[in-house]
Amino acid sequence: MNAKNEITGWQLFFIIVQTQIGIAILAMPTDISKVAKHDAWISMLLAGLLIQLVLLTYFFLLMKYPENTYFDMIEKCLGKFIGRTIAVLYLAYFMYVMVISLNGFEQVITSWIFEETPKWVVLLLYIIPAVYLARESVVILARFKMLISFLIPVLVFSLFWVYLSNPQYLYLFPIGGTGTDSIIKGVQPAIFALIGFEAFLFFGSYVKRDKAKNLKIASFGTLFVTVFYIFVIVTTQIFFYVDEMIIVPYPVLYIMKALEFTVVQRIDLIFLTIWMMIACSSFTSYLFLGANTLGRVFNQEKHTKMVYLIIIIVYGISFFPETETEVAEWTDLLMKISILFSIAIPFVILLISLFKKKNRKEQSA
Amino acid sequence: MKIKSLLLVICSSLLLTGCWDERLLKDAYLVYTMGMDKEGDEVAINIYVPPFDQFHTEGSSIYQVGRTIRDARYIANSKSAENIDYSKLQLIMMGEDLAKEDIYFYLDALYRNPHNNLSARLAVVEGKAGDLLHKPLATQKNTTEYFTGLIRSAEFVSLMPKMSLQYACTLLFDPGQDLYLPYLAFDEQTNRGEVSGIALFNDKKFTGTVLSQEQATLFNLINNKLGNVVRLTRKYKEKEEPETGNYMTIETTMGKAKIKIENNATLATTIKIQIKAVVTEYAPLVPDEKAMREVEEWWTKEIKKDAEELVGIMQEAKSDGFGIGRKVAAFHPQHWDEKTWKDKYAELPVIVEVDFKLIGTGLID
Repeated sequence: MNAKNEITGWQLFFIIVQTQIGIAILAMPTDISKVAKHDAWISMLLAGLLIQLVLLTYFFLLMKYPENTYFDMIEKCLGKFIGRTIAVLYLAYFMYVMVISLNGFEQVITSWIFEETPKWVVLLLYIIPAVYLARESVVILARFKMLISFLIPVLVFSLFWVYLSNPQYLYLFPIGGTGTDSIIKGVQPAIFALIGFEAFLFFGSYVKRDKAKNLKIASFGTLFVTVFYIFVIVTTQIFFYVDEMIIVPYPVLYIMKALEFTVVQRIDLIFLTIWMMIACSSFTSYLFLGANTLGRVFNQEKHTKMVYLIIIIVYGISFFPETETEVAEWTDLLMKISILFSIAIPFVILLISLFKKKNRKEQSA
Repeated sequence: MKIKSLLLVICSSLLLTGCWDERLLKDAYLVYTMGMDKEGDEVAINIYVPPFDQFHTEGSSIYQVGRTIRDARYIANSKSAENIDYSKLQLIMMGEDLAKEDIYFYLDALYRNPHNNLSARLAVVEGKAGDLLHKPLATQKNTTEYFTGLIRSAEFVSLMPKMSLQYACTLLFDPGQDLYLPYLAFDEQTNRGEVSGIALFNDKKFTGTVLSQEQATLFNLINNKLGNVVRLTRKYKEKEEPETGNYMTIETTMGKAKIKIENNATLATTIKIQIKAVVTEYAPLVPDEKAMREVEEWWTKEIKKDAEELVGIMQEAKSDGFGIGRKVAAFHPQHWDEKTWKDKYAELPVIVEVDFKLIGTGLID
C-alpha cells in the first residue's frame, strides 16, 4: 500500500457525514412522524445512540485487525469461500442502495422541478459526476467530501428562517405524549435515515496512522448527523402540524417553498441544487465501495473499470420500479436488509473473532 | 489540444438548454388573482391576469365553471391563447357560500402542484368573489394589484396578520386552533373594496361570523400578531363640540397578551393583555398626572369590555382563533379530547385582565 491510499480522521469524519446525509434527509421527518407523531425527534435521538453503540462494534473490529480491510477480516474469521460469498452479498447490497438512491433522487426531481423530463436523463445527469469521482482514489473522494461540507451549514442557516417567522413550539408538546410504543417503533425509520454509518467500517481501514485517535474523531461523524437530523425534525415539526406533515412527503422542501423574500421567491429550488450535491456525494460513496468490492471479488488491483461495470448494471436495474408504490416497496425492503448488513453481520464477525482469539490462546497454551 | 477541448466545452453547452420542462414566458398567461365561487353543484373560477404592458390599464379575465377547481382550470385553458400559469398566484378569493363548506377540498389543488406559490394570500368575500372582482373600482391600480395591495395594507395596520396559503393549511389541520381570514367587502359609497374585518372559521368551514375592524385589531393583539401600526379610537367623552372632540385615538407601542389555562376540569382561562400606548389625537388635552391616570383607567375598562365581548362572539361561533385548544392539548393533555373540544370551548369560563399604561402624549400634553 502506498501513502496515497491513506486518509486522516477528519477526512473519515466527513466521508461518514456525507454518506449518511443523502436522499433520506428530505423524506425522513415525514417517515418518522408517521409512526412517532410529534415525538419523532425522540426516536431519532434513540436511534442515534443505538448507532453509536454499533460504531463501538466497528471500532473494536478495526482495532483488532488494524492492517486489514473489512473483507479481509471476514475471510480470516470464516475462511476464503464464505468470505467471498459474503463479499458478493455486500456487493449486491451496495448496488441495491444505489438503485434506491437513484430512484429517490428521480422522484424528488420529477415531482418537484422537472415534471416532463424523462427518467433516463435525470438519472444520467446524477450518475455522470458520481462516476467521475468514484474512479479516483479514496483521498480524492475524501477531499471532495470535505470541500462540499460547507454546504451543510448553508442548509442549517436557511432553516433558521422558521424560527424567525412563526414557530409553533406548542406542536412539540406534550413531550412523550405519543407513548413509548410509538416512539420505539419510530426508531426503525430513524435508523434507516441514518444509514451510511457503515462507511466507518469500510473506510476505516484507510486510516493508517494513530488509528485509535483518528477513529475516535471519525466516530463523532454519526453524532453530528444525528444532531443535525434532530434539528431538521424539530424545525419541520414546529412549522407543520403533525397531521399536515404526514401528507407532505418532503417537508424541508415545502418549508423552503413557503419562504418569501423580496427578490427570490422559490428558495426550495436553490435548496434543491445544494442538496443534489450532497445526495450525489452519498451515492458516490456507495459506488466507490461497490467498485472496490467487485475488484476484490475479481482480484483486480484497480477499481476504475469496476466502476463502469457496476454503474451500467445499477442504471439498468433502477428502471424496474416504475410507480411510486413500487419504489416505496423496494425502499421498505432496503430498510430490513440494511439492518442485516450494517449491524448484524459486523456484530457476528466481532463475536467470531473474539472466539477465535480464545481458541488460539488455548492452542498455544 | 486546447482548442479541441474548448470546442468540446462549447458544443456541450448546447446540451444545457432545457428541452422537456421549458416554460416560456411568452406562452404563459400569468394569473395573479383567482376568485372561487359555488355555482350550484359546481365550482366557478374567475382568473385575473394583470395588463401585460403599460398601455393597458386593465388586465383580462376568464370565468369558468367546472366540477373541481382543476376541471374548471382545464376548460379555461381551452379558451385562452396561452397556457394558463398559476405559479405567480398572489391572492385567492373565496365566495361566502363556498367558504361555508370544507374549504380544504377547494385548496387541495394548490398544495398539490409544485409550481404554486405558497405565500399567496387567502380571503373570504362577502357575497360572491366573482361579483367583487367585476365591480368597477375607483382606483388607479388594476384589479389584480388592487386586491393584493388591499390585503397587504390590512396587514400593515394590524387588521389582519399575514395569512399565507401555507400557514392556512397548518391551521386547517390543527384541531387546536381555527383558521381566520380577511373578509373582503365592496363599499358602495367610495366604489372601493375594503377589508371589513376577520372571517372566523370553525374547523374547515366559515362560520358566517365576521369580526368588525375594531374587534379585529384586538383579536390580533391577543394573538400577538400585530402589524406595524396599531391604532384604537374610542369615544371618551359625551358633550364636547364638535363631535370629533369626544373621541380619543391612541397608538400602541407595545401590545401583547398571555393566555393561561388552569389545570383542572373546568379549564378556567385567563387572558392577560398588556398595552403601552401613546395618545395621538385628543383635542381637549390631558393636562396632568391625575388626568393621565383617569385616561388609563378608562381605557383599561374599555378594552376589557371589548375583549370580553370579542371572546363571547368567538365562543358562540365555536371558533378558536386564539389556539386555546392547542395550549390545552400541549400542557393539559388529560383534559384534551379532539372530538368534544369545540363544545367545551363554547362553555369555557374566560377572564380578561388588562394592564394599560399611557407612556406618552405625543409632542404636546
